Amino acid sequence: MLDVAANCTVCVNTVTVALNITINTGSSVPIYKQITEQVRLAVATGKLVVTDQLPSVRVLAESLVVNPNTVARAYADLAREGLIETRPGRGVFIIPKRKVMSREEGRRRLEPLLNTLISEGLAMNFSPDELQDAFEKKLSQWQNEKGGKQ
Amino acid sequence: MSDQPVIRTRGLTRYFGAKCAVHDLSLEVPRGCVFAFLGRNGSGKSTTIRMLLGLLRPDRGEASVLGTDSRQLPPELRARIGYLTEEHQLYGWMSVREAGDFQSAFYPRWNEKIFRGVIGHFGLKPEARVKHLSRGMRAGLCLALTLAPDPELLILDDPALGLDPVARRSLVESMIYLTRRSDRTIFFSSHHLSDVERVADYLAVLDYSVLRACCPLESFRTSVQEVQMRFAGVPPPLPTIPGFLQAFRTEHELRVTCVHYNRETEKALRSLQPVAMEMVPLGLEEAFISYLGERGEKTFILSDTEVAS
Amino acid sequence: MKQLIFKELREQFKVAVLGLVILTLMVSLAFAAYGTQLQQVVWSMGQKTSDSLQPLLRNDLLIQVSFFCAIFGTLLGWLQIRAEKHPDLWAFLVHRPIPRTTILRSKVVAGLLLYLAGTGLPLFGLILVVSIPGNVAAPFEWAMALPLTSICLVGMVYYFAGLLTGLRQARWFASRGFGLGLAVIANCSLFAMPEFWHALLIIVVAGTLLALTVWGSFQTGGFYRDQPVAGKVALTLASTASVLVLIGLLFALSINFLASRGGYTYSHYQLTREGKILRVTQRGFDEADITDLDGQPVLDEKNGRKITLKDLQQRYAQGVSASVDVEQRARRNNQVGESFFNLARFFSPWRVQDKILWYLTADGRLVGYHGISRRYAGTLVPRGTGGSGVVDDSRFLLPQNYRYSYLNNYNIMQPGVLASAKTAYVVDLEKRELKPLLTVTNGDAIHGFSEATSVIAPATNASVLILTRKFIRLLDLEGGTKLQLPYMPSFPQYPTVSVFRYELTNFVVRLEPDYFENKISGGKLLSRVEWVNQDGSIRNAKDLPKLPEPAQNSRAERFLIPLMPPPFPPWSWDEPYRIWNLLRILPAALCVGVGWWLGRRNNFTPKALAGWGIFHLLLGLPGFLAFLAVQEWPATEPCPGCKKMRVVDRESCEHCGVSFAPSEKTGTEIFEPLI
Repeated sequence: MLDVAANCTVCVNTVTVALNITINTGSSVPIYKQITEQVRLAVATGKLVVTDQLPSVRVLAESLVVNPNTVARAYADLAREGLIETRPGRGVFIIPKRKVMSREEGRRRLEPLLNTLISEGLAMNFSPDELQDAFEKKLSQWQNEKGGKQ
Repeated sequence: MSDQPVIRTRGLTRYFGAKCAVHDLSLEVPRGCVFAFLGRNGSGKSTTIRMLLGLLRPDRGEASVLGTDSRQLPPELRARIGYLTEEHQLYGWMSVREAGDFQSAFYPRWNEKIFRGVIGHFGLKPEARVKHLSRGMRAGLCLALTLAPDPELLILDDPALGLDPVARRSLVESMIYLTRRSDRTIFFSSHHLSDVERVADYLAVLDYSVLRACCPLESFRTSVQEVQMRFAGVPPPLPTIPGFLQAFRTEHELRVTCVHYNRETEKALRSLQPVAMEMVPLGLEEAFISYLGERGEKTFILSDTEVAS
Repeated sequence: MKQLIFKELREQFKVAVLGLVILTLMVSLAFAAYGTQLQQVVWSMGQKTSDSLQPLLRNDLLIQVSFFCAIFGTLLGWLQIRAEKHPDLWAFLVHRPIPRTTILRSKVVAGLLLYLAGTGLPLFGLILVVSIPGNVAAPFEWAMALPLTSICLVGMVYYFAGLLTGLRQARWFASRGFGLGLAVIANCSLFAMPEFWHALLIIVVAGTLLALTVWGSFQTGGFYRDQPVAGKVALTLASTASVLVLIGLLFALSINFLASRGGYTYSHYQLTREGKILRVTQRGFDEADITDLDGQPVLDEKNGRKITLKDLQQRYAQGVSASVDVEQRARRNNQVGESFFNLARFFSPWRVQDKILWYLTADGRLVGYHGISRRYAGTLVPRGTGGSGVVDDSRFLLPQNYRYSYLNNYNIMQPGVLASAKTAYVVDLEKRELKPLLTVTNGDAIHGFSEATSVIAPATNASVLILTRKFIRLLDLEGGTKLQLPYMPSFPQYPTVSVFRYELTNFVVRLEPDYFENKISGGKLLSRVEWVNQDGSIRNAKDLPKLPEPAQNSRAERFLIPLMPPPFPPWSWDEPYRIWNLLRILPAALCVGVGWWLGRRNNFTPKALAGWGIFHLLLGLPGFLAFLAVQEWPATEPCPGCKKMRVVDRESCEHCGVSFAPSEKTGTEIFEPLI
């Protein structure tokens, strides 16, 4: 019974996908957000692709050693974003990205992220050009990785 | 039945001598949740728990558990409540297996598989004598004895006290295991906020015998807010801020924590005319520490005389 | 339940074994001491011996075992609770799905089993050894084991007291131990019980009462509040008993230390060699006051000073004294000697001859045991035709000193005379023969006899005083009559007769009234003295004036009287202290008042208020102290309404009715609905 949890404390091997999620307690980011962000990142980087199956709430909760309600909340958020879908009796799957967010809304959310990037970067004495370079380099790197996986 | 709170107290008060240990505590714990009961040492957590279990008589007010007055818990109900005591005391002369056999004789729903599972999880050998066990192992055994009767309500009084990180992790895992059944409730006290963060749905905070907070975990964290302000010169003295908790003062900075940050709070802070003002999100632990820490202003700037000496 | 019993057995096993070892050692040592004593008695021919020649009835053993059982019982009970006094262990014990009563029952079953194993085994071993012929040179009956058994059983009362001591949450120093008072009372009253079943009754009653207190206290973890009514009542009674014991101790101490100057005043008459009667009055520890019958101080002829008791003792007339129907009188007068602890209810050592110890048994036989082989050596009984009661001539009458020799002193160095209802015999132990000395006829019967070894007769020829229905006779050992006179006035009014000799040829006969009969007659029976010629004719007779009752004149004791419960019923006041007894009512009334006030303040139910009121009225100060000691009195704090101190466990203030203020808000509360 408890052996399940004992064997995979941090890493879960589901049927289809290896998912690495690290939980950082004591951080100012709530655990459910840490989960959603890491799943989002994995989808963005192509580590998770459409039709990949995610562990069930219960299994993920026990493997991450967090409250199942927290995982459920994270999955609910992801589902609301249209990233995953729970198919009754079969499990949780990554689905093709639906447009659940208006372009307007997306821009609004992007704004503070860009602000943080720029202000932190400038604070570290990078020039705007250097920042732009770095940003573009990273962007092309991501595109390559995603392309590579596909 | 199921929507009735598992634990309900109303005006629960207890004195030890002339000292008030728990004052006017009213609390409801819904079924099927993991409820963290927090507070500093000596704030009355154990006293509350012992009153809940009818081990201590309240001076005023009442407590009921599973719908029954705590003072008259019948044996059938006690069978449905698991209680893990603070110091994991057990009969030293027993071996782990004997302890299990002893306990199992009293519980009709005793699940030997759970018992074996938990002691295995904590690396306990059945033939080991209890008195030779380490603190963590003893905690594991106690937990096994508490979990094996498959309790509906699990009350843990600071289960992580004195445990090493590995044993603590095992403990948290066991707690999460228990939530497999959605009608099981865990009410626990702890000082380890990272554990609380992992498992708790709700939390309540006792501050010197008075209940100050009772809310979902996230609400608590978001209710406590830190504001960082930068000033051109020496930060001005603070005005009265609603919900003010603490302030840290450095040469050009003033960091203020408060609860229920709102427009009024913002207005009060803006009136100080800071050069920059930024909201800093807090982790649960920081939020908790500022919430229960000493109220008022602190500073790290030493006066000239102190520096000189 | 089985699991719990096993657990308790396992936990206290060591203590029980320790107890077993200690008691076995004690018993063995006592048996060894018996052996030494027997040797001394056998080799020094009837030397005075201070302890019983039946090991089961030895004082040292009984006292040691008494202490041991008290301590062992208390300790065992106390440890059983103490082991789980830690709140966590206590919770682990009681937070399980069985009623607390069952938990307690398991504890008690295990505890009593261990207690009985620890004490019963060694004691039973001793009884077994003693019962086997050849181990003890004294008569054996199973009833001799009863004193030891009762002591062993009373330890169970201590056991419950120990449990209670462990359980109670003390309010005052030592008030946890209040159960012990009742056990001590039970223990002490054992020794005064006439029969074993009385003792058993006391043990059962005290044990049940304490078991109830333990049961009640176990329900609440040692607190008084929330106990079942039976537990509360029992606890209160037990505590009151303890308070009374403490006050009793205070009395005893104060009399011993504070009032030693006062003490008792008592007087008696003393006959001198010259045939004079003097009155001796002893006041406390002062020099005795010696006067003649007219109240004039007696002066020493040599130096003209007042005579002292020491001088007087040199001039006592020597005599022999006998009493009639020793057994019946003793029973009626309810003397302490009638306890089932009294050795004389079985036998009394009579004489040692040729290494054989002869005992006079309570049923009037002379039984011998060989002092070396410790085996039965023979029996001597008068050859009579039987009969019933006091006229049974097939058994020996018990001599004057029989009942008082329960400490087994050989009061007479070498007694030689015994008597049945018809015949007095000189006992020849060498030939195992009874030589008739005097046989009464014509419906007369011997009712009492006594031997004198000394001055009354020429030194070689002891005298025997024999009291029959009709006559008082003084004989020598050859059967020659030295004095004979009618027994007038006779028993039952005057059962004690003393014959003194003065001026070589003259006798004084003194007849003492029976204490009990005298009480019935209203103190009209006076001690009678007759001056008698050798031929039995009475020269002169005198009734001695009545002596005052012994009186206690301790002042300190009077000051302690208000501490006692008021007299009940109130008209049953002791005469000497009438005014002081009034003082016993005042504190009781005060206690009722204060108790009422405390009860009102602490939200007592009307029933409880009334109950405590009656309790205080009956038991006065001791009851009030118990009342204060058994309960938990809640803390007080200033009332937000009226500023007076109010108890914290009432919802509303007892002075102004305001409820408690909720905790002050700080503005930092975070309360949100839990969804």
